Amino acid sequence: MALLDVHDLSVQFGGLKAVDGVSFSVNDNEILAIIGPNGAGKTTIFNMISRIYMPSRGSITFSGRELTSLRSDELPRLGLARTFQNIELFAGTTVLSNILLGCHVHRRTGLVSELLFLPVARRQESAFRAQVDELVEFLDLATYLHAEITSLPYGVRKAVELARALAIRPKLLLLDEPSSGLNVDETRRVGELIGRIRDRYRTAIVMVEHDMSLVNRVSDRVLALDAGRVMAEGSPEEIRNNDAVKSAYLGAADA
Amino acid sequence: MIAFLQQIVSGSAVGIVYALVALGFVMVHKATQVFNFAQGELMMLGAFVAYTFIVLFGLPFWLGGVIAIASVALFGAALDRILLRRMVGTKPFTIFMLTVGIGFCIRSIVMLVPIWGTETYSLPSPLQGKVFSLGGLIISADHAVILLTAALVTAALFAFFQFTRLGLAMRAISQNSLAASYLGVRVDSLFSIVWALSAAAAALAGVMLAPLSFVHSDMGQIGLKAIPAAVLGGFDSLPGALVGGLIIGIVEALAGFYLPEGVKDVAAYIVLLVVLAVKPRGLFGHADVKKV
Amino acid sequence: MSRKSDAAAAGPARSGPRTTIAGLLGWQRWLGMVALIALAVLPWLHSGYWLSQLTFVAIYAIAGFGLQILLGFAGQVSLGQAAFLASGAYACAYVERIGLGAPLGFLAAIAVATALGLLVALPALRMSGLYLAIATMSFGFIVEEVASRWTSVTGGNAGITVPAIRIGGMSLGQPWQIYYLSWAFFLVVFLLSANLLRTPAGRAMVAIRDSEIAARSSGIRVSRIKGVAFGLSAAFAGLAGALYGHALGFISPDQFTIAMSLDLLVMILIGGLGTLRGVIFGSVFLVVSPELFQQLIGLFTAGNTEVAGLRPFLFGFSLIFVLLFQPNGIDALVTRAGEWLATARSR
Repeated sequence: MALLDVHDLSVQFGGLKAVDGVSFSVNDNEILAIIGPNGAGKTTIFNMISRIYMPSRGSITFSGRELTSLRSDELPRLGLARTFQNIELFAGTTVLSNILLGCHVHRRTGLVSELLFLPVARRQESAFRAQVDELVEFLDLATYLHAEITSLPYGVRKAVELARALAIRPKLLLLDEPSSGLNVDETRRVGELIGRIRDRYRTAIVMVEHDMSLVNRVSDRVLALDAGRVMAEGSPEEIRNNDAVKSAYLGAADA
Repeated sequence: MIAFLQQIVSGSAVGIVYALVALGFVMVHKATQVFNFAQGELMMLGAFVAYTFIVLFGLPFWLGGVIAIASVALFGAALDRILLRRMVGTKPFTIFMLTVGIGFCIRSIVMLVPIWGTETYSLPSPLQGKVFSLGGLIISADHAVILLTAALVTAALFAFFQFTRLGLAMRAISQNSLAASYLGVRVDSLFSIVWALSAAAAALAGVMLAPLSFVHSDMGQIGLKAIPAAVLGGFDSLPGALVGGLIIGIVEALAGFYLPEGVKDVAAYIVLLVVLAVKPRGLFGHADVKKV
Repeated sequence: MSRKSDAAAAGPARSGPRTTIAGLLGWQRWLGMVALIALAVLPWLHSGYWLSQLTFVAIYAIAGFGLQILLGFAGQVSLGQAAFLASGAYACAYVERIGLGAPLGFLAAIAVATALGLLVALPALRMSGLYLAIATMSFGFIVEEVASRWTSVTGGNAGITVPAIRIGGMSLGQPWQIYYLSWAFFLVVFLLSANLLRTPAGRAMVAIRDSEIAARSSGIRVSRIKGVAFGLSAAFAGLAGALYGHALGFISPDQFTIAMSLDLLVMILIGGLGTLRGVIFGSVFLVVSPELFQQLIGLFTAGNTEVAGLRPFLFGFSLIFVLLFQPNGIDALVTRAGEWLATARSR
């Protein structure tokens, strides 16, 4: 059984069909890239999976659960995490706090034990902190741990958002344009990072991407969208050589 | 039946006062997204200036009123120029707290000025006591003038925003001030004009309210009742503010007549809570959906 | 100008969280110790005016922690905190006047205020910013009116006297006893608030303030956490109200007006929005500065110090000044001073 199964997903905004009958699935530990021109509906699909939008048609099944009947705050408990295109960090606090908030889904204490900071709350904080330390080391954020978000460079903010998502210990990670705003070097490192995340945390990853070199290097499969519909699906090599994809997205002249 | 209609008439007069203050709230909020908590204090200031020129200096009522409105309008523009200008780009809550501070200062300065202080003063209008009868209803000339004036002012403001180039420019800056400035609109000056108009509306309300009740440094709290009026009318609609004010004034009058003691004082706020409970973003509001 | 640009200038790494006791820098811990000792010893050295002033510093700080949790942490604007103080004060006074004793009175204060807070939370969950402020302000006016009219419980506009605290056979009516009681409660509330900040519930509040979408995508149940914020802030305000009633010995509806709600708001902003220290600084400012200001004015007006209007002028002017030049309040100033001292000593 697939980890994520999207079937006939559709949504309409006013008269515009942003997403029209999209179906695909993602298996455990797989890396799927979703590509397509601007307006193809890629982020909209993410927003439906993470329950920010309600689809008008179709189903989303994750680990056997139907997601369309759930709220967005119920997804982390199932093991689904995401990053955002425009980086949604908690800008009024520190890096440490942001990543600790990723651990919120693992909270076992109630308000009373927290207010009184009972031993169970103390132990939980230590456990959370250990988790954060591990992620900080993995993503090389040690120097920024106590910095305020507003003082951070763009690349570091993306890393913090990623750390926060990983703190959830997701089975599936949705990355919305992980390389946007990054230069060639940083993009290459992101590619390595994505591979290492999959290997170390056994996480399946779906990413919306525009950078084809990153897509080709890292993904197991690629889904090409255009105008809200699936154009093609296959390995990076197959997509690279697909005529319809080439003309719609890559430009018919080059390959 | 007559008693009921009588309440409607007298309630409308007070309601119009609320409507004028509400107009000011709405104008400023529409253009600058600022909730000006000092609006009530501006109304109070208008009443005090009018009192000074009319009662203390002996000028005719209409002249004192004009001076009050003009000077408070200038004061409003000055507030924008000197203080609010520096807060462009900060969080709405911060600017709101700035207006709270401004309100404190205006009220305290009024209390500290020797000829004003914390006494209660009366400001009689030239039409005091004159009434006329309309099919059994007693309508005081004061009320009639207030209703007429406010209706004219609202119509004028609405026409101004809707049909003149300056008004069009103001609507542009309220939608997207950055784009408007790139198109050559003098955004800064227009903001000051909006503040001046809003302060003028408050001052007019103060001048009209004073003969109906009194002049006192706590008058600003009456201005707070205009907030339910603004919310009722939809915080971004000028005609809505007029309608909202009328409704609040009439509800208050009826509550004072038919319901137990004390309900009248909070009737406006009960109406407000009922409206917000049903429509948390105001009667005509829409949700701000953040695009991610 | 802002602390954010300071951090950027100094480099990414900064000192740790300032809001827990463990996180306080060395010299601040000493200062805290000295302050605590001074507070403990004060009643032996002096009674009367300053004793009562410092009692109110503790009481306003307790209410202030409540508002800080709601506004500074969770980002929910409330212009009606006075309503919760009123409900606490009247609940406590009522229970004590019918002879059920002080412990039950304080419990009732907290329970009634919390219940009211949760009630307000229900519609408030769907409101934000401007409309939430307006709704809480309206709520405050309505509660004030209820206090005036519900004569059987509140004694109406004439107000009621608050009996001295009776625990068992003991009577704790002396000013110095109220003083210690208030500061004891202050310490408890401070510790609870500090714990809140370093555990999931408090962090979740800050998350909601900064980005509800990201909070939800991190698994935070926004409605529930907002409810906790409203409930806690009302509980602390109710406790403060009960203490307030005992400190004054008398309560009436015209004490719990929008003026009190605004005072609390001004206090939090001048002290420092979003920090626990800010509440303490704000409370000291709120209680102490009008007195100092009047003495200062008295120097110029040849003794006539009781001039109405000085207090609102002081608060209005200070608020405007702070918002224009140091939006993060006294707390930010103190942090800057501490950093300056640290760099000066290391040279």
